[in-house]
Amino acid sequence: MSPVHLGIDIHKKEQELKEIFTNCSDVTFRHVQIDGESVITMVYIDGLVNIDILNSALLKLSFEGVPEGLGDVGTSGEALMQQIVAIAETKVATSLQAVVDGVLNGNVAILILGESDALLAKLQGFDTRAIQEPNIEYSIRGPKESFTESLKTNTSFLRRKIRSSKLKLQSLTVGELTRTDVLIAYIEGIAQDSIVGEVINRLEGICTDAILDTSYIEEFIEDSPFSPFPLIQNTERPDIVAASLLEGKVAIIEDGTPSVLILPMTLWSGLQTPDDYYERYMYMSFVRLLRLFMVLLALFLPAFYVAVSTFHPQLIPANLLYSIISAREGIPFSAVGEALIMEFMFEVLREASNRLPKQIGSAVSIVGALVIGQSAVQAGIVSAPMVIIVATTGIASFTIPRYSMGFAFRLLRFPILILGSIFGLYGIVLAALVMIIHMVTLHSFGVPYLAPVSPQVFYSLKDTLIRAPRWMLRKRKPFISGRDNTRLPAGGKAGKRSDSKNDQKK
Amino acid sequence: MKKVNLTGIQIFWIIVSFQCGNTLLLTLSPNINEAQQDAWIASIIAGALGLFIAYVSTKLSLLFPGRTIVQYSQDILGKWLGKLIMIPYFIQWYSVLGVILKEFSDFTILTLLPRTPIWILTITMVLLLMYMTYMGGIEGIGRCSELLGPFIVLMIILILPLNIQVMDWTRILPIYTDTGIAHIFKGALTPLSFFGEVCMLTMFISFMKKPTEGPLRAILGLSVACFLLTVSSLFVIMVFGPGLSAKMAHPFFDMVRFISFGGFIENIDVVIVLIWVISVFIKMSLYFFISCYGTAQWLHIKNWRMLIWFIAPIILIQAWLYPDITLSDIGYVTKYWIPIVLPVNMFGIPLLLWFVASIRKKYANAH
Repeated sequence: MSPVHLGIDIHKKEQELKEIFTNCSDVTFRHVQIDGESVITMVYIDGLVNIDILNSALLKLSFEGVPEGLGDVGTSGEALMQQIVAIAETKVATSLQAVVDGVLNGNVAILILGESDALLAKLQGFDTRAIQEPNIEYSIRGPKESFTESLKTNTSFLRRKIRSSKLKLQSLTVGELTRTDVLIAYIEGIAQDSIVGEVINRLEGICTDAILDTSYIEEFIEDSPFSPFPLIQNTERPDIVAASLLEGKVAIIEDGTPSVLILPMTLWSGLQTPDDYYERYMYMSFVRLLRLFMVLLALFLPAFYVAVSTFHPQLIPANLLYSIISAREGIPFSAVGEALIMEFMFEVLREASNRLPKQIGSAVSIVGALVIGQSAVQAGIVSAPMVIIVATTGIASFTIPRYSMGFAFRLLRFPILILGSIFGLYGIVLAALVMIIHMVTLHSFGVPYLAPVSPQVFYSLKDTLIRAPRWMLRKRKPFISGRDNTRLPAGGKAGKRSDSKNDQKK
Repeated sequence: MKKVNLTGIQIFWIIVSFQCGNTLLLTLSPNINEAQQDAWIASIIAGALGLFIAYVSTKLSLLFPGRTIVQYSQDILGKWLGKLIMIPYFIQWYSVLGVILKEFSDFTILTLLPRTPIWILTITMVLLLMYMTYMGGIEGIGRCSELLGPFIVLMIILILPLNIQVMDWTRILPIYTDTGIAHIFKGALTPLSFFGEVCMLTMFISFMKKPTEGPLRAILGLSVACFLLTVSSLFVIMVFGPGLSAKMAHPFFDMVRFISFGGFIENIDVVIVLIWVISVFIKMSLYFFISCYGTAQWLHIKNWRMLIWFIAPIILIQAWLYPDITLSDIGYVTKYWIPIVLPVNMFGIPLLLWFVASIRKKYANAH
């Protein structure tokens, strides 16, 4: 549609708009008559506009009467804006296209007799969900709010947490049909300019008809689409976004979805929970190491069991070997067959309980536990040790805090299992090496995926493998943060002034 | 494309992780055969001489920042002589790849997968090398060693003391008097020829972000490897005594196999084989990378990754041609590695280049 200049004739304008909005039953045309003649026409989409405010504005009009001069043709739009439309934000639309866009965005378009321009009044108001507790990323201690579908609510969360003019929120529109509002949030000076520029470049390069969720954006802008590992983090927690912004990361917020993208992502941020920073550091350091171990278990345990029991039984202590052999007696499948069946069943159960309503979900897990845990062993289809192995693996994979990260590890378990069953422990080492080579070559927006463990930055390890007390984390994460690298000044811990002199020397 | 960067930490871990595997497995027996219970002294001597090679190679590379030995040998000696002097290196790199591949597959089959045909192991390993070199290049190798190196060292350190119940420290007595300096030096030759492989640093320093960190990191890395070798030779002698361990093909491996700790940890030789596989993988990918990269520079080929497709079949065919493990294991080392590679490639050429380059630099500065 070319930018057609609006004509003076209000009825013709209305007719044109009606043609554009043919078969759009929610587009409302409302007339205000003065002296028996339709002077003002309002166009808006029912449901996107706050009708209460609109009505009260109209009431104002009818109570106070029409100001002098409106009856005459030729009143300026500016005067109208100030006198009639008692609404916070208005702008003048000069083209038909601008009117259509404005209406579609939830504005009320006000056409006035004798005026060539139309007014767009910002009266957006639609039902949104109340702020709720996070559903997926649960934390024991710490804020209990989560993002909603409304962009305004989401940005207000961030503004409330980071009350600095350095917090920038740049706006973009993506999607030919959906025209979705997308915001890029970062903190000037802490975020690397190159990363911010790259994000904007990639977002502007998206050429698609629809963006319904940030996952669409994620797929379009991530570095290695053929990697099983997520290269962009998504979260529903404002506190995680705020903390990431303060590390120098960039967030992408989209209107209409509570999941916010954070980038660049490293493997380690995929293994962190908000509680890591809210609970006491000693325990959380322990939990972090535990989680790393769990990741290894989730990846390698079934493969290790199959490889050891079929290729290297000498590794198992004699007594344990006897009980495994006696448990496997009469089982019709090989160890790897057993493992594949059980892993497959486990994934089926997990998916089923995800999709079912909550009330039925628990029934599925009970049936699953009974059928697979108990009966299958009693019927002699699978062995009890294998049930233990698969259950342990499953639980271990659930300790991975990021949902998308958990997928990667659950998926990789199968090729590792198959390699382990063909080549024994050599196959597992082979798989591990392939995986490490792959991870080493991964980058997320120029940041190495395994940083700061490889390439190693020693001072940062105390916030990666463990979580050192906060007053020791004086520097922001390497590779990610830009110019401003210091988080705490020297002697940032109260009551520990004695070491501040040493720090200043550095 | 992004510029490749190696950090000092990566140089350290590269050296530690590629030196731990083959050196521990293959050099103990010939060393103990010569130096008897004083093999640990020989290890220290080998380490010290190895440090000298590391020092020479890194210092030499620092004279020509951003250039590999293939390039600066031509700067030093002129175009044709410089190219000619690289030929011994190419022979060394190409042949050692085939030998290690053969030795790796034979040893893995022997210890891990007795019923697997050998071609499966050679081909999977070569595929892995190609993947590593193609995707990661030297930076990838550096970052892999950074991740795996700590595991290798940790496992060796954890495994070593498990034999403590059967150790007898009197087995290392008498010190020195039985053997004498000649035997100790002869014993040091094999470990030295393995430590001397750090002369491939002449290829790597050019990739470093801060090349001046190179010499110290290389020396530290080799010191760790030397320390592990010395401790292992001490432990092996204390467990088996010099007579028995000299007759074993892989005394370190047998020592691990001998472990029986608390009735629960037994037969963990598999673990050491896995560690060794990782270390050998890093060593081979280093040689594979410098073969591809060096050849490309030598022949002025722009895209060095193309050579992967050419060198991979060469080493596969080599590995299939070697008749048995004794040739690749022992014959290669005693007939070619020690008498030719050690004096020529590890000492001779780097020292010669260093000597000529320093004189030239001085001459250039004087005028």
